Amino acid sequence: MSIRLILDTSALLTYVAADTRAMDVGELLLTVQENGDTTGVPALCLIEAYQQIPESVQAKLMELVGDDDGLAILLPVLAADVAAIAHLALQLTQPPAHAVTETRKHHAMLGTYHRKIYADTLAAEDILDL
Amino acid sequence: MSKRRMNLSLPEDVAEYLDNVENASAYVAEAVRRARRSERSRAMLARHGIQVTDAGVKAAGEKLRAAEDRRHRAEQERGQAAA
Repeated sequence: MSIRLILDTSALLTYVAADTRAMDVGELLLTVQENGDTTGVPALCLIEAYQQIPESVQAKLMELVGDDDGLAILLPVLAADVAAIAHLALQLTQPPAHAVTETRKHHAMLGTYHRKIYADTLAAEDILDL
Repeated sequence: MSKRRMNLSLPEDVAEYLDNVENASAYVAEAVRRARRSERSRAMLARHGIQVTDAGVKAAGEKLRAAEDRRHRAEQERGQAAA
């Protein structure tokens, strides 16, 4: 099972909003899973999103990545990736730096509502506008 | 993992297809697991207040594949330019 899609903080915030845009994110997660692949959630993006949402929906975010056989898996900060994330975090904040590192490592698409943030660190074609 | 032999009645087209699959038992087991995984995920999305449709899932797949195709073409062009 390969990681085909990475979701950044903006995508996670939309997911928990449970509005019409959340439907788009949910359908994207499902199509990835139903094709036998999976979606990765960088831990630093999850933490950032968690800090910005009401307590009442925090459990949703944790449940999204809480099952290894579920819709998305949590991607930890590995020791081998710390240097790359630290270097990118000179330009970006840490959560998008982690998202870029995972996108490159897995040769995945990055799903985001904030393409501009990544303009200097990812090729335009690596970004999927949500 | 323990296994159990079952006798199933299948539509003719499905049975014909499985006749040509090397390991039909493993194939069916994987298909059932995938279906269960999808059911669990759809149930979780519903619990989270997200109603998805089959048409929407299909459209999302097409959007993702189109983006991946664009990336593949861009990588090929960069490769040719570098050569």
